[in-house]
Amino acid sequence: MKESVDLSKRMFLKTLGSIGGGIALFSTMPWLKSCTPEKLAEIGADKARVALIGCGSRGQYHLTMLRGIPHAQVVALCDPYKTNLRAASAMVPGAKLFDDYRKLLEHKDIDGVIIATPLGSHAPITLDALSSGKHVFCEKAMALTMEQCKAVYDAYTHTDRVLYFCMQRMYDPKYIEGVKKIREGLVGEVVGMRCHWFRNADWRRPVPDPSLERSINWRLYKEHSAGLMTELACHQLEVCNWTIDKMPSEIMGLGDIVYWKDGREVYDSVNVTYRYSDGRKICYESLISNKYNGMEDQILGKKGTVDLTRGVYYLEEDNEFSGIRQLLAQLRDKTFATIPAAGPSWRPELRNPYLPHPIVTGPVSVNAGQSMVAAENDGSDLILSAFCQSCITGEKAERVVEEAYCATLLCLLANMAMEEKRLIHFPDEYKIPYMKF
Amino acid sequence: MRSEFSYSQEGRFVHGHIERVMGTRFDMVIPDIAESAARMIWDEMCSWLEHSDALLDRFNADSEVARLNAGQLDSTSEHLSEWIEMGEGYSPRTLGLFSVKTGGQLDFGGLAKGVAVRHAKELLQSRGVLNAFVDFGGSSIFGLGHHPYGPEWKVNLMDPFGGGVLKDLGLRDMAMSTSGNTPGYIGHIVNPLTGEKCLSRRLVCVLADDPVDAEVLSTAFMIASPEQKNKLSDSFSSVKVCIFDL
Repeated sequence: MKESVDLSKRMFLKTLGSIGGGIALFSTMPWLKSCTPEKLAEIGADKARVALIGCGSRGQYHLTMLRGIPHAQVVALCDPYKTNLRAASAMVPGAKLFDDYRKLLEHKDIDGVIIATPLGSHAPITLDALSSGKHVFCEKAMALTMEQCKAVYDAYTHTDRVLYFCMQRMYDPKYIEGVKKIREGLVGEVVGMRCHWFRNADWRRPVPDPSLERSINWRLYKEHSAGLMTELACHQLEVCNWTIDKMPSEIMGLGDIVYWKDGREVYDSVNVTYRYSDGRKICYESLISNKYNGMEDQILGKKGTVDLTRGVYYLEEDNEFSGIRQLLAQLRDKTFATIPAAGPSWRPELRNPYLPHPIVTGPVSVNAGQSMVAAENDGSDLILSAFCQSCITGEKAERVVEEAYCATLLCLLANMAMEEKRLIHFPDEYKIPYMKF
Repeated sequence: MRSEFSYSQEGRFVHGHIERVMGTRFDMVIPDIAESAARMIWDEMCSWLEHSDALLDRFNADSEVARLNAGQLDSTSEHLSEWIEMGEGYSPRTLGLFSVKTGGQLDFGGLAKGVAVRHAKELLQSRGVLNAFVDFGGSSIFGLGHHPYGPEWKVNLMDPFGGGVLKDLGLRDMAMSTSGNTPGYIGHIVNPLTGEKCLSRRLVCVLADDPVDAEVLSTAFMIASPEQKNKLSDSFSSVKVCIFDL
């Protein structure tokens, strides 16, 4: 058990230990306050009794994480699909099994639920769980429709229960440190953002029986899914808003089914532009029939670029006059050496190689974006641990729900813009006080 | 035009930098100089560059060159006439391989940076500066005097096709100019006699006392035939030319 306690502490320290900033960091990223090692020590041997609703691949991934969290005890599992339920049950043998989440919610000996179901059921299950007094951790995105998002947000503002959405980048060290450094001026004024997620795969799972097609491959059908925007873009848009602490006010985009014409209803290719009131933009692109570009969350500053996905930054000056920079360094250091300055005359502005600088010291886990389930060390473990801690202390994680709401709304508005082929202005009825336009 | 000027107390040098002028960047580094003296030199250089760019930039529709090229003007100003005369003066000396008039259009792209570096050289010398390094876009460089901690200013010539360092060059009161095709930018040098674009994977580097000679010859040697090369070498006897076929 000693080892497990250390594991949770290590998760936190691994995330924040190298970052530092202490109280100043907590004032800008207050959600991290609820899961400090000090607070973990206060809860002693208490355990959060949690249930998993939705035992597919992502749910099973959470179970793997939960087994390493000492203050978590998985007491129940629920999935209408028996194959998944059996697989999950094998991972946590003592847990009670359910095929209807409503029955599960009736049990008083469950403190919190972890929802890893198809998007379409996030809102109803979250709302039911909060009404039955459970703390809730729900996968992203928040919900399938804007109405549902608003209903969940309203419920959150009235409940004393804890609510988390799995915005794991908020708990990922390279993102935390990257955003902190951007705000400290690392790359100068932020002038734009480019995010993309490319894969070359059909996004399908094997289906044992055709009748199960829509429930197993739920990501492909509009009754359960909002496609690439909610499944992939959601995290990336959250990072953009988090970084510059603003919300875009206008959205436009084009979406198509370019390659996977297999009966799916959601786009396999999206290009979306978000514009903030000051003219800055997020350029978003996702395509799942070519993976050359991989996944990147790039913050573009006047003096450099931060690629949060890789945990590196690049400086414009490295590229622009490195020879002169070396000469200046020589004069400062009173040394003499050759300057790699001379080359043929001016050329058009092609993309030249830039020198990557690490954002955090030590090894960094980079998510290549190709897994359909999860990436390692991307903050998912820490946010889940934080939730379990909150189930015991009752302390909410500030801003997590708000960030999830903002990001999900942007995903759904992009779908609206693509479907209706028009420029969308952020609708007043979905604005919340947290948003700064 | 945005320029930056910085003085390093610790290193006792000034650095003037312009992010973009005549299509590229301009840098001037002067060691061991009083800040105020350097500031005056720098301001004068900036004003010369700004004025010349406004006159010569053929991509700026308001410049005199652009308006002449567009047929909007019947005559040329005295200032521009001097530039044309200077450029065309090189035509006979380079066997017609260099001209500021190609296809009926004026283009000072192969001349102006050299003239600017010569202006910088003369300006620095007139103010009694002994050592300085002037770099116009990495392709037109002048080393006045020497590096404060070495006998010359040392630069190396990089292979634009990624093959590393082609040559180490020591500059002491010496100008250097390079011309060449790069992987992403081929065919920008045109033979004024034939109208043909130079497409070869070639890099020419010329060292000369005079920055304008260096500038002009680096272009002329890109397109010169073996016979023309010999003649050019004879008429510009003090220059040193390196040609790399990559």
